[in-house]
Amino acid sequence: MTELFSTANLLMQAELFDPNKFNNFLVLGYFVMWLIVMGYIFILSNIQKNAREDINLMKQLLEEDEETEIA
Amino acid sequence: MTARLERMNLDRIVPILNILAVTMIIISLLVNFFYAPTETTMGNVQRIFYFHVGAAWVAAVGFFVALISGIAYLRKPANIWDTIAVASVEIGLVFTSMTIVSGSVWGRPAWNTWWIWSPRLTSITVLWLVYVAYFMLRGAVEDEDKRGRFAAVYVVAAFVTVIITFFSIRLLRDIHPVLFGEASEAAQGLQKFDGLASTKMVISLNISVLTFTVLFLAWLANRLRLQRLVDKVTDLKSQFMARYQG
Repeated sequence: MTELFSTANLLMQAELFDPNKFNNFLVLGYFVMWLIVMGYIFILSNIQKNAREDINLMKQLLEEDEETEIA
Repeated sequence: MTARLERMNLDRIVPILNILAVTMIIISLLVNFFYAPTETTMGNVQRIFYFHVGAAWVAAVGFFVALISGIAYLRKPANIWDTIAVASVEIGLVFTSMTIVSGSVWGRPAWNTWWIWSPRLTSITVLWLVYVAYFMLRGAVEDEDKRGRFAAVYVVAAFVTVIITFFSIRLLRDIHPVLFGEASEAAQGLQKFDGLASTKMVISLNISVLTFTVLFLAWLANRLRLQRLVDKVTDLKSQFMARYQG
């Protein structure tokens, strides 16, 4: 009897409840998580870019310095 | 151990971990959307849960790694422990942010509100602020040795917030569902949660947790390699300055 009631309840729920009702929240949830991941990767790549620029600048300064010494 | 960590060849490990992490994310997304069944009460929006739990798990792992590194630094002050602690806290914070935001988005259809100051949500906010303050502390101390020591003590003490957050829903009355283990009688929440109803859901959750663990390792390796580069650049800069001033 209890099983019958729970099955009927589930069937009623299925009629009342649309599983796609909150799909926009599902998309929003995954989107914001993706945004945070991308934001962090962007910060890391920026740090790397700055370090590379610093290395290039030092290389350039060293080369200029060596050229001056030779001259 | 310390010497081995310092010598570790990250250039070889990083690309492998990166490829593995991306592959696992794709697999995990496919599993979450096409393999995991639709939850009967909440519908498709419940699929947020797999990444929400995965992110929360990895955030806790990150803070635990920071705790171990903090203890190791206090036992034997070596730069590598400090670097691992910084990287772990940083990644832990990113994952905590993901957990909070995804939970809030799920909460809107499930609880009819974006945010509620329940014990779990309050404690995780405190946790987030405590670990943000870790970077403020590091920024405030100039001396390298002092900074390392202070940061190590702080990161060990800060782990209390992780324990409080974990037990908050198990000990206090909360709207947040308890996923693992039983809540105490007094902590029974307002929302009934029957756990993971199907085996497919359990498999999907385990894949997500594994994926996020690999992602954590990949980010940690990337962050450590990047920190080595930044440290080398800083070192070179100071040598340069000395040469030009001399």
